[in-house]
Amino acid sequence: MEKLNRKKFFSFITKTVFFTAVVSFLPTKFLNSVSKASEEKVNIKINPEAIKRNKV
Amino acid sequence: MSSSLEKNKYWKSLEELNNSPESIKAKHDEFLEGVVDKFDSSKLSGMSRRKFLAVLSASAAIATTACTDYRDKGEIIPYNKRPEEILPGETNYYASTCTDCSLACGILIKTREGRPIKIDGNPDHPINKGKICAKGQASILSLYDPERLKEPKFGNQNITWEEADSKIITALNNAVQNGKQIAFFTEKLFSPTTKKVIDEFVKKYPTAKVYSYSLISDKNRRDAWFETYGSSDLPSIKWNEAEIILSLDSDFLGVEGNFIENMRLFSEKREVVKKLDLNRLYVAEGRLSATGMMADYRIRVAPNQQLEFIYSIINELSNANVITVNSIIKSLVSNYSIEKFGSKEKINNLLKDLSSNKGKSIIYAGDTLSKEVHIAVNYLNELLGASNLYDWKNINTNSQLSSSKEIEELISNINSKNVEVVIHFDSNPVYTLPSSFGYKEALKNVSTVITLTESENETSVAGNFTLPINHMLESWGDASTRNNIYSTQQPVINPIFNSRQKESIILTWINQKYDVNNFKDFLYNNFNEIIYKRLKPLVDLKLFWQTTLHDGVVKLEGSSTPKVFNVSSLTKLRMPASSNKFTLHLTESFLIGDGRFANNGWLQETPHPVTKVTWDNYAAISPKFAKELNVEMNDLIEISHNDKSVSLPVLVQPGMSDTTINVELGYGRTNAGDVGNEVGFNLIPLIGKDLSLIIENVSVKKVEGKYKLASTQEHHSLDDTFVKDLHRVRKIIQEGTLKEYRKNPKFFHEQEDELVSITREHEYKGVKWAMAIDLNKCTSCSACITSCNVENNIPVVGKDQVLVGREMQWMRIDRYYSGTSEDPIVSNQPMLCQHCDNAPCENVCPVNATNHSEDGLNQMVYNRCVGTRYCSNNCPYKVRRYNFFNFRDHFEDAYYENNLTSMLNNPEVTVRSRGVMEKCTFCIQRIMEVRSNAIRDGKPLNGNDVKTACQVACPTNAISFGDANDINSEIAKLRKHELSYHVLEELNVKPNVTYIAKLRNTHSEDLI
Repeated sequence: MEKLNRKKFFSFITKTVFFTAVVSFLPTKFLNSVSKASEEKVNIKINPEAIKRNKV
Repeated sequence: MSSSLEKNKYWKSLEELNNSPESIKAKHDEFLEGVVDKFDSSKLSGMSRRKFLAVLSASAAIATTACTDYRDKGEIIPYNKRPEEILPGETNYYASTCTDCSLACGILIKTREGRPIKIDGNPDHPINKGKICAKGQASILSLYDPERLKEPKFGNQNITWEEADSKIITALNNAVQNGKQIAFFTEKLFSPTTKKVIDEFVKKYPTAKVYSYSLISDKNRRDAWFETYGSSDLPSIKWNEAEIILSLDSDFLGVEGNFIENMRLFSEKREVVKKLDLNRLYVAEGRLSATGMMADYRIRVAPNQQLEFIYSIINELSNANVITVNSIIKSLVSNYSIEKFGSKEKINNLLKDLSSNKGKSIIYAGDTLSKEVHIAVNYLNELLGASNLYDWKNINTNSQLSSSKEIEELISNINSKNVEVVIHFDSNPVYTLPSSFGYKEALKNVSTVITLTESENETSVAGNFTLPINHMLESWGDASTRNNIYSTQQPVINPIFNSRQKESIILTWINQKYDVNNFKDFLYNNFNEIIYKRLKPLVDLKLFWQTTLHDGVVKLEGSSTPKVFNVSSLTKLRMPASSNKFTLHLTESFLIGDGRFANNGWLQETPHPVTKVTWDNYAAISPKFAKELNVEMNDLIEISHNDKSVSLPVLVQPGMSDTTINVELGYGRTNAGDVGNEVGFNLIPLIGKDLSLIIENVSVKKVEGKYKLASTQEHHSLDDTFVKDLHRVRKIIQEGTLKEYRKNPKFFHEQEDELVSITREHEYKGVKWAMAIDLNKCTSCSACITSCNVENNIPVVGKDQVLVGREMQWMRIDRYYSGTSEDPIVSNQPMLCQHCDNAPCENVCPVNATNHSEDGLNQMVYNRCVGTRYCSNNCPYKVRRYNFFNFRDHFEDAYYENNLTSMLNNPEVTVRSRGVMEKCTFCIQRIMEVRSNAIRDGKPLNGNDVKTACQVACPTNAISFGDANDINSEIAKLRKHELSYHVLEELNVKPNVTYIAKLRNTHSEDLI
């Protein structure tokens, strides 16, 4: 097996960490906002005055 | 190039072409060199190992970030203080009234965790008795439509309600001060309380005038009844007591009148299982309607010839001394002969039946026919004693519509700048009024145009103020379409957006200030005045009000005085203008009404019951007419009338009259929403100021171009000997006549071969689920399809996917033609997963994603399915549906993939994603609910307690479901009935859906 080249190893680790950091901090919120799948919260409240039927 | 090149030789490479030694050796070796050599890691290049590690770590980094779903689905937070009414996982039901059309059916709304998820009929409502139409079933989607208006608008800007009210009140007061008219434009009104609110508005603003207009109405019928009986209130018809029915261009089993009640009563007289009791239906029409498909005898009569047709019947019956007509009528009808209208045999049968069933036969004319036709029909009914079939206790009250003259007057006033304010009260006249009125252009002369609407429409964009109103499920209200019935409407959910109840908006302008309970209190007080004080019940008002809300309806005493026929009305009758030119017959859309449901994807995608076309309208013409014009299916034609013309695609429809073109209204909208915009073609511009939907003397010509119609069932060629009557040859449809059945009840079971099976029989010891469908009762109304769509979270796929056969409905209604293309016999058959005991789909699934349960269900395990579609390939009934896409994401750029519309989903049913096969499950969620209730209560499971969504929705109760092993159950009896059969029985897949063969009540033993 080839002897591990220290310089090249650290270069590889640095590139990986940098790449991971860039990908992790992508502006996902911006991407979501342009997507049609809106993140708007929907306000569902029952009407307490409605009279329900117990059994159909 | 090699000189030895042979003609038509195919080659993959130049080496092969040149016959090199290497290519010859490669052909002899099965595997490529090196494939079978042993793996030796030392032979891997150092470069490749380094690169391997680099790629591995990079992909690990990407995978880590991609693991989090970019769409945060939010958190599940339990109630801190649970509302009293809600038990998570339990369903609540609320009674209310559907106000999407003027029938005002009683409904029962199913809610889960405060969200309405299904609408069914209210069983306590005496008119619809637990059933609603396909439009009512699908209307729940409009509550969760993402394009609903959220805020009041002035032009394109959002404003607050306070600003809007303040400006509008100022404008109203100014109009009154200046003596200018305030036009209040509404649809047909059926709520007594709403009418009272409008009356109060007119009192407050004395220059206000109310105009009512509906594109589709029964105005001609009511005007005729006013002439003939002195009242425009119509008695109900006792369809269940009529032996002979003659329908003249009336789709009374489809969209006309109170069709839900009509279907139920009609089907009571199409009973072949419990007793043999059949009426006989004659349909004389120019187009093929849903009612025409049910006919025992069908006669092609163009709509402009119906007056001549009814005159000729009167003439024939008078000549035969069956009826005695007065001299005015005698001289009018004496020249008309019925022979030109159809085969002699059919006509003779009709006359014979009418003669021998006096007092038990009825003639019913369509709403679109002229007032004269209705007067003549009323006269003939009177002579035939059909008034026995008028139910004078159940009167359909009238809500007066404005005449064409009144609307013209309004527009003239607008153009003369005498109208300062126009209020559109949940109406869309810019779309529904014919363009000949010039309404849209006239509105530019009005300074304040207010539109109260749920979603943006053609009228709202032509005005200044657009005010969002509550959906019917968010509204208080009441309805009274009959003199003896009063139904209530209650909101099951608080308004999702910043909308208000439309009556509440008007009350705010009356009272000059807003109160959130203003209409609720007004309704309560009006209930006290018109109902409580009338009935004088023993309980107090509050309790009675709550009981009425609970039931959804209260019955009142109705008038029972039969009216006397007014002979002087006969002077209105005239000689019909003879015309052999083309007639354009415009009819209400079966699924989207007058266009109000255009933005409802489920309804757009439900196949039309007759043509099976989705997402469009078309010009239906007869095969002979098509040949004359030299057009085929999908060719474009141009229809012109009075300087207006519209181009639209042709649909060659068997059974059409040769001079009639039938087009459905409600399409071609421009501001319906993303789903409904530009779908189909708008023919309202061709309607004249007389508002008649029968337009004579139109000119038609072929134009260049084609337009593909998305039909879910191809029209089989009736002339092609290979496929002619294939459904009968393969016994997919088994039919007979009543006479044949009486002679020999087992007439189609006589020739049955023994079925051989290579699989072992399985004995179902406990419950075994099965379904039966009575084809005598199915009218193809499609309520079952839409109910299934709502219950099982079926996605909308869009026209482009329907064109490639990827519609996702689990249930379909197949329509077959037999006979000739001029006079076809039409057979309908609901088709769904048959849950076969020897299911061919189960054996071929490579991952065992589809298997059979102990209680006879063919089950589908979605998370095992890998999408080979082998099961669908093997299914002889073609009932399996594959998710080629995540259709919620795919349709209209993820139109239905949003937090609001996902509230509609039934939480008991999995929402399927891409790559998964699905099909009818016999509503397994309902079976499990009943099973768990039975376990909880310590009782045995009763199959009759399970009702599938389609079964509940069917207005004629054609669908039965239950435990086939319970010998006392209805389903067990139906499976053994003489008329029962299975589709494709010879395949011996042992389907568990039994069909009851249709019997036609003809005079002979032959079907034709």
